[in-house]
Amino acid sequence: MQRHHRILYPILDLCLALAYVYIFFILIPSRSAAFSVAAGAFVVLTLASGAGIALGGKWGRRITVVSACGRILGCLSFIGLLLASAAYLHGIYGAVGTLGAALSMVVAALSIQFVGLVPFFELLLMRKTRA
Amino acid sequence: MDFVRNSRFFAIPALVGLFMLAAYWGIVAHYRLAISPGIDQAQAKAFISTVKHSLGLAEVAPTTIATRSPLMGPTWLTLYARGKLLLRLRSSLPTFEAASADILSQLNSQTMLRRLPLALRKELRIKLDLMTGRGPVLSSIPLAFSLSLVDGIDGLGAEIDGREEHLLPDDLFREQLLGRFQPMASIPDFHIGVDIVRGAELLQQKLNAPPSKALSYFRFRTQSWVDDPQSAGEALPVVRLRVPMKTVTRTDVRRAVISGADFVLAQMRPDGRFTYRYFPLNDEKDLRNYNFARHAGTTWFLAVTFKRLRMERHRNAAAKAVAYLANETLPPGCNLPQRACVGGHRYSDVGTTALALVAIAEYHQISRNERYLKLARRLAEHILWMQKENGDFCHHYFPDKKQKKCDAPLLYASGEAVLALAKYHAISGDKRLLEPMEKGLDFLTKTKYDHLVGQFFISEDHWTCIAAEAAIPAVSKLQYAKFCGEFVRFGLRAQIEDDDVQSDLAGTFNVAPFIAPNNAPPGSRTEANVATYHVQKHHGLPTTETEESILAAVRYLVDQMIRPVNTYLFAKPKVSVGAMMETPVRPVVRVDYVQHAAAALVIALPLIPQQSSSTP
Repeated sequence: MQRHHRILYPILDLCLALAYVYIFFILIPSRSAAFSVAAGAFVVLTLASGAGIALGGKWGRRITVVSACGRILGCLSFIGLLLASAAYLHGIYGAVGTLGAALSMVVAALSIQFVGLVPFFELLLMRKTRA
Repeated sequence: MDFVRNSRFFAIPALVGLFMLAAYWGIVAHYRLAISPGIDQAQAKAFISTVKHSLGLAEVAPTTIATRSPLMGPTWLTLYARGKLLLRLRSSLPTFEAASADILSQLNSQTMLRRLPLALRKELRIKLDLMTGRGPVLSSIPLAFSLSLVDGIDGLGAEIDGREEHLLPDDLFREQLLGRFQPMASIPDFHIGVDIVRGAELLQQKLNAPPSKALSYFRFRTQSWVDDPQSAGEALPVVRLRVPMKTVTRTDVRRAVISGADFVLAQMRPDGRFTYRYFPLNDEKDLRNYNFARHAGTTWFLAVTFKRLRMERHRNAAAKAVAYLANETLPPGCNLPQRACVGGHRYSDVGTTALALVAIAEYHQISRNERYLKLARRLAEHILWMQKENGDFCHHYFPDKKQKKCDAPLLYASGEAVLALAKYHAISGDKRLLEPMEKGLDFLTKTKYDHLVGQFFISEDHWTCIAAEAAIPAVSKLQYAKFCGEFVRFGLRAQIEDDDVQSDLAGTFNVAPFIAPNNAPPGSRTEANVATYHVQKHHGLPTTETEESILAAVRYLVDQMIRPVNTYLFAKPKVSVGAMMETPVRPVVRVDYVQHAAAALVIALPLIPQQSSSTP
């Protein structure tokens, strides 16, 4: 693993973790305790990914792979829920309409970029360094 | 090897994607309703005739209901008396022949009906509903539950211990549950979907179930028919709480304009104000938060209606409404020798002043009464004084401090200001107004959109296009015609088409089927589109898209305006004729909903085919 990876990814993860805290606990705090717990776990996973890369070595790598996989699963679950909501509305109304389709696509695209992309590249990095 | 490994790595997202796609369509199929065809008009007519005969309202022996149409669920007969539910009978027998016989037998045993005075019996409205589809809902998540019914089309049912109760679409409307769910406590004005909290309470009461016991909810679709009060024994189909008009002719549009104007007229008070909000379910009237801009807009509409239809009562009403504007809406800080504005003691916005001037100018044109000319000049001076160097306007004025405020722009005010200047120019010929009008229109059609976002979207600029038309021929540029053409095209993207899932709402503007469309935009946008049509014609530009949009919206507006046949849920059927509700499912009539709709119709009249009907 190159030195700049060990600096860049932990910084990115730290920034993302701070952004998640701001969004999910300050900007739009949820009334649901389950959602808050899930958001908190996501923040921990994000910090763990960065720490794993910074730590390096066998354990650092393991921590990064597990937490990055967790984050990607979280992202997929979120998109899954979004699709399920769109499918529900489609079933009820016959279509989700321009606004429904546009909102679903925008939120899905944003969540891929904002939640799924960094752990995906971290996994690729872990693959590369193993090879 | 690498290729194989990489293929596996990338196959995972592909498989996840396929799984999600399959899950998506699985959910759609689970919640989609299978709809049975129900009965045809002849069967409905035979049934309603029989009911009328049983009520002693028809002497002719009814035809027999011989068909064995299979049903998916119960059949209901409801009798409404002046909007109140007088009687509801239900049968769960499996064919329409059996269910209707069962209901008629129940009806004949209702002795109280025979005791009703004949006059009241004649007023009874007969409604037939049949369940034609039934499906599950997700009741564990409040927001999903609230969005589980198609507004005005679906009913809500609940089941417990083998017993079922139902809230028909009419019931949800009468209880004002449609479009009333409040998903976020922090935004109390935001409502979407059905108020399922109240809906669940009502079903709990109907089932006499203890609150601790969970009900199993479902939605259902109905096929509905109502009698025609103007034609004995007729059965008319009801879609989303009204008998739909699939096509309209110029005669229909003219009739709608007159009924809209007469509704406004009937809501006029001795002081010249209009009832600001009318609630047709219980005939309640509300004048709180009276809005001078909407008063002025309504006055303008009455004057325009007189100009087109020449009915003296509309001119008289306009005169009374203008007098109110002139005498009651100018606070001392606004009533200066050189200029005047409309508003309160502490605040006046330029849009309200502008609409007052528009109303006065239009009234001057129909009456030739010079009484208000001086006031018109002072209002125009105030608007000119509020104009900025770039052509835009300062929107806020504080009469007590004699200060204007130029930040925090309002949505419509600048367009209204230019329209007022154009209207005043038309009656005064004051050449000083030409440059401010041009600068205003240049700003609204160009400078306002000179930024990145402005290349993708157009704001609520209907007043701009109305002003562009009013300014012709004194001020006229191709740029204005092109901008208004873009405005029409932008609106077309949100205009519901006939082949859409909401085909009964074809012609209105909406972006999602789970939001009930507001009835003000089809009126105001159509006013702008008619103005655009004239601006485009003036510049020799094609008008096909504009005409299509106008015709589709006109059909919608005529359909939405309350007609006698659609008053079965209203306390005073005759009073509510001509009203326009906030949405197709929200029984609140604000004066400007009627004004925008009927004004759009009256100015669109010459564009509606005389004989052949217009289709959306």
